[in-house]
This record gives sequence, structure tokens and C-alpha cells, in this order.
Amino acid sequence: MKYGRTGRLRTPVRLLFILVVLFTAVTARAIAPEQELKRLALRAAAARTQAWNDKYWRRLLYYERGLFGGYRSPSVNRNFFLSKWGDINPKLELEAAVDGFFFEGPDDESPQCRFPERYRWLREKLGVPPADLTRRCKDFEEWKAALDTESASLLFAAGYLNNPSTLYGHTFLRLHKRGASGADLLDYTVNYAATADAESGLFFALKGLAGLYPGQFSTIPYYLKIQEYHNIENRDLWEFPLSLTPEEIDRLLAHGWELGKAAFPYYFFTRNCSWQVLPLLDIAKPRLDAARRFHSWVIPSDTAKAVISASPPAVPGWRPSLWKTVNWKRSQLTETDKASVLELARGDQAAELKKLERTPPAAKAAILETAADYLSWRFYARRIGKTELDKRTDPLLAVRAPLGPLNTFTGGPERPASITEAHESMKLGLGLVALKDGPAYDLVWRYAIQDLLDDPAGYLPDAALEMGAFRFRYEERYNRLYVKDARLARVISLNPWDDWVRRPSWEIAAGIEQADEKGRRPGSAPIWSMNAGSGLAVEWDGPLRQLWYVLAEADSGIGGALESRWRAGAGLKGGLLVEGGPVRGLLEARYISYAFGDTRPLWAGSAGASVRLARNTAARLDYSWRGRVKEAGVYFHQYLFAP
Amino acid sequence: MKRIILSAVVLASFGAAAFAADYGSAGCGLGSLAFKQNDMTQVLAATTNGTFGSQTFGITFGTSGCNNKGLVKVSMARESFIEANYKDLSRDVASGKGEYVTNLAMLYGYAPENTWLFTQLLQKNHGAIFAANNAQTAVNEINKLVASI
Repeated sequence: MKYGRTGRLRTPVRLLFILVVLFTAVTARAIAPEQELKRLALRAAAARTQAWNDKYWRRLLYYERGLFGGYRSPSVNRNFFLSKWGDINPKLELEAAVDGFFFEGPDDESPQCRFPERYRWLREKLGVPPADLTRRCKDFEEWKAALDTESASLLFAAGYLNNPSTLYGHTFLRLHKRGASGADLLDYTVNYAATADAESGLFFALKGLAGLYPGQFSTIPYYLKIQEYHNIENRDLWEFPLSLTPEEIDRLLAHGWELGKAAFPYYFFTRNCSWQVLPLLDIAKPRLDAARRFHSWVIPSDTAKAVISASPPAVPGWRPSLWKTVNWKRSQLTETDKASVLELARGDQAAELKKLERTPPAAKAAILETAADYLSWRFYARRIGKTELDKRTDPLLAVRAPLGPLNTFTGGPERPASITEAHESMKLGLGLVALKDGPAYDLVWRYAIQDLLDDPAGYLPDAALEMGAFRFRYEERYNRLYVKDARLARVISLNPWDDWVRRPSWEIAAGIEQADEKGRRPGSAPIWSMNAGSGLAVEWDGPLRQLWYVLAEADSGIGGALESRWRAGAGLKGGLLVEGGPVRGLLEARYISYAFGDTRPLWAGSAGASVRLARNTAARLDYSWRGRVKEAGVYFHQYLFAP
Repeated sequence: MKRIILSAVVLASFGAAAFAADYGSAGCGLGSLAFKQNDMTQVLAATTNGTFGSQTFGITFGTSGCNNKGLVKVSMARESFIEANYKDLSRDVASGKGEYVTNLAMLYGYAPENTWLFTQLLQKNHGAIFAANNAQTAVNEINKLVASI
């Protein structure tokens, strides 16, 4: 509009203005009914196809069929739904989505921009052409452009025994930036985690079991995940390429954007970090259909395997833990150099640096680099604090830098077997047992995952990590069927003694067992037993690898078979683990003396050997004694994917 | 005691949980690094506060270095990287190799085949960059060095 000097509109302009206003008013009134008709047509189209019954719609909103036949979506964040009843009614939610096409407000706040994948599908389903009812989703497009994803991979952080909440590993996704090879650290990850509060101990466990912590997705820079797993927790990181097509990546991002508005109850055993990644992948790649494969408890390595087995075979990437890197560098040093590293890191650093002045630059650089890495490991392993780390590292780097570029180490740490080579997590077994009174038949069932005699390939070496391990026994002579043992959980972590690491070995276990030493009739002496131990292990690398260990044990038992129904005491446990090829042997003996309750001591032990016949098949020989009761058995074990 | 052991065992039992551990998982931007727990990590202890009901994807770090979509602000990418990886970077620069320094080179716009130039430039000036043990100093020094050539 142009104004005259007087401030009044000039006549022809005024006329034009009035015309424009009139015209706009008329069209505005004309558009609304047209839109309304369109909306009704779309609703009719939705009703005709019963679009809300589409599997994909249910997937997009995480609807699960409830006990009484209805549907329910678990998101506790209401923003995930457009309809007030969206969480319990797929139809109302879909109708709200249809109405959402006609949202009046800023584009970025429109349902179409907030839920790009729902609307992509809805357009396809209802036949809305791309040019019709479009929105400019600036926020989403910017986010997508910043991630600029070329491919995606599944990352698996190996098991970690020192943090109970992540014993079995963790899985998350990595989005590879376009054309950024060589800049791995700059990628983003898609991670699902629970938002826990400060609660600890029993409450933490119970709340976790009851799903009281909300879980949310986040995009965390990959370098921070590396800090977390590689440095702080000292775990290997495996990377399995997903080979997604550009279209699948689009869906992954579009649905990922939607998940920013969702929060699901986090259940330790079922809907955990590792499972929640699966529905996201199922949407990116519908034929994967992996989420449905898990019903009971979800183990991260199993979800990883489920996804990997459905992707084209590819060589996984491997990022060794911080300690493995230090150990590999150490292995390339001479004995004198190693001593020098220790002196720099733990001893009189100034004197050692002086001594190193005459060392040739390449050797000196190797020593300094190893010492700096070792100090870093010491810091993350909580052997030293930040001040000590700085105080000891800075002088080393100040000496190293002026030496300039030097080739200090070649190759890399030796790559262990990946999770794809591991046996399945569940074990079923049959055994024939010889007892004093004749034969017995055993049925073995263990939910997860390994004991010391199982082949550890793909899992943690020198460790046992058992959950839900049952042995049912039938004794012919007495015609009796009973539970021989039912272990709730057992964790053993044997750490071969290393002067650089100085990590003790330990174990913790709880479950029901038969106190055969009480001399009762077989199967009638069940006790609830809990024990924990700590000690040392020593490795000897002969023709057969040997691992000797001694643990100081605390033991307790509760049960009718015990005098005064309980006992508590302490003792020693010693063992030897031998490995060679597919054969493993284990000798173990323990002596526990009880100070409280039933004070008769316990003297028990076992000798076992296992041979791996195939990846998922093994045979085992077992001899054991407990008090005066002895038995010998032969077992056949089959490992299965948990149904 | 029994209760404690029991809860420990229950916890130890499965917990395929990825919990934000006490060191946190974290963030975005300079000045947001809050060292916790014996200066345990270079990783800041960010909270996920405010994610509920937010329209953004995932964590909003709630710091100046992050945009409202849970990503590191492009303008803060170098600073965030240097701060979060300070010690690793310092070691890589001193030894004149490693992925932390080559990744930073790429953040400074070096092509993969030229990252060695950046690496050597930093290695020669390791003292000036890292002696103060302060991320902000390192950022300033590196910016100065890169601008000087």
C-alpha cells in the first residue's frame, strides 16, 4: 500500500484495496467447506479400508493387544498421540491423524511435521497426492540434514560384569554420516535408555522390574558412547552393518523423529534398551519383523543376533576396549621397556624420564605412548584420580610431542570371536547319572548364558553368567522326581593376575540346591543357598591354557534339612580351568566351615570336562561329591534361541 | 543383609538395562561439562531433564552447545568435541596420530588426505595447546594455529 503525503489512501488505490479485501473474504469462505468435504472424504476412505486395522498403523503406534481384546499403546508420553484416546483406540487415533491434515497453525507444529512417518503411510493408504495438503517441515528437515545419514549399523557393547545393570551387553544404533569415512567419531547414535532416579538397591531393582522408569530415545554423539563403553567401562564395541536402502533409512529417521515424543515404561527383562530398538528397525525394514520374536526375557546379544541374522552377511567392525589396546602395545615392548612404562606410570617418573634421555627416539616414543595409555586406563579403572592423571600424563606428552611423527606400533589387538559365533543363549540338556543307589536321569534347563565349561566364544572369557539354571532329576530306585538344583543367578569373574591390572577374581550366586551332605533321602534336602567370594587367579600358558584360582567364600543356607534351619559360615574354594581346542576341563573343591546355625562343615567339589561338538551342541562328563554323597554323570547339551 | 544380597542378585540377574550411570552420558557444548565423581570422566553429567513433553528428538542437553533437536550445534561442534575428548585428543596430538586428532582435523575442514598437516601442526604446538589443561585454552590455541596458516 502506498500512502499519500496526507496519510490518506489515494482513490484508485483505495478502490483496489477494497476489492482485495472483498475477494479474500469470499475465497476464505469458499475454501473452508471445500476443506471440510475433503476431510470427510478422507475419513470415509479411512473407514472404507479400515485403515486403523492395518498392521503398519499398529506398529507405528506400538499398539499391543490387551487381555480383553482391546488395543493399548504403552507410551507414557501423551504427546505421542494426536487423539485424547489414542493410547487405547487405534481408530480414534487414525481419525485424529486424518483431521491433522487440516491443522491450522505453524507448519513445524503440525501433526504432519511431528509424525512424518505416520503421514507418509497415511498418504499412501488414503491416496493423498504428495502435492496436496503439504507442509514445510523445517525442523525435521534440518535435523535430518544435520544427521545426513548414509547408512546405519547396529552396535553391540559386550557384556560387562562390573555393572549389574548391563551384564549382558547393550545395543544401540549408529547413523553413519554421508561421505564421512575416517571421521567415525563425528557420527550420531540412536540410543534407548531408562531415566533412572537416585534410588538404589532394592527399590531400584523393584522399580526396574515393575517398569516404573520411563525409557526414552536420544541421539548421542558417537564419541560420547565411545567414552562410555571403550574408556569408562572398558568394553569391546562391535559394529554390524545393517545394509539399509535409502528408503529404509528415510523411514528410520522419520520414525526416529516421532519417537522423540514417546516414552515407554522400561522393564529390565523384557522391554529393555535392547528390545526397544527392534520395533524401530522393524519400521525401517518391515520384513525384519524382529520385535515379535521376543516374548519372555530379552538378552541384548540375542536381539543383536536376531537383527544380524536378517541382514546380509558383512564383516563386523570391532573397537577393542581400552585395556586391550594397552595390552597390545605392551606386548610389543621389551621387558626393560615394560619396566620403564611401569616406572613412569606408578614409580619415580622424573628419574625414569631422565634415564630415557639416552633411549633412541622410536623406542622412547613407544614407551611414552604406552605409559600415557596405561595411565588413562588407570584413571578410568579408578586406580588414580584426575589430579594424578594430569600430573603424570602431562610430562610424558610434553616429552613425546617434540619427537615428531614416528611409527611406534604396527597391527592391532587380536580380534576375538564375535557374538555371531557364540552358542545360543538358552541351554537344554539330558544327563545319565550314576549314583550309589543306581541310575538317575537329569533334565537340564538354563535360561542364560554361560558357565565356566561352556564354550565362551563370543561371550566373556573366564566368566560364568548364569540366570535361571535348573536341573530336574528322576531317580528310578525311589521313583522320585525332584529339583536337584535351581539357581536364580550366578556370576563368576576370573581375572588372571596381572601386575598392571591387579584385579581380583570374584563370584556371587544364589539359588536352591540339595544339601546331600545331610544324609537325607535323595531329593529331600532342598536349601536356599547364597554365597559370594573373592580371590585371585593365575594364568599359565602351557600347551594347554590353565587358570588356577583361589577364592575366600562367604556362604549361607536356609532350609529344613539344616539343623536349626539355617547356617552361615566362611571357607575356601580352589579351582583349575584347563582349555585346549574344543575341550575344557574344570576341577573345583571347597571347604566351608559354619559359625552359625548348623555348624557341620561342608566339603564338596567336582571334576568336569566338556567338549564342543558344534556351535550349539556340547557333551559333558561330570563327577562330583558333596559330603559323603558322590555321583558321576554324562550330559548332552543343546543351545537354543529362547522362544 | 539378606535383603541386600537378594536385591543385588536380582539386579545382577539380568538387567539388560542401559542406565544412565552415575557419570552420566552426555553432552553438548563448552562450559556444560560438569565433572562428577572424582572427576571420573571427560564426559559430562548431563541430565535428561525436560525431555518429557518436549517436541524434540531425545535428549535436550539444556546447554548452550546444543540445539533444540538434541544435536550438537554446528557452531559448537569443534568446541564440544575438544572438550569431551580432551585427554584422548591430547594423547593423540602428542603421538602425532590417532582418530581423535584426524577427526578433529575433519571438523576443521581438512580433507582426509590432508589431516596429517593438521596433526603435525598441532603436534609441534602441543605445549601451547594442552599445557594449561583447560579445554577453552585448547580451543583458542587450535583456532589461532589454524587461522595462522
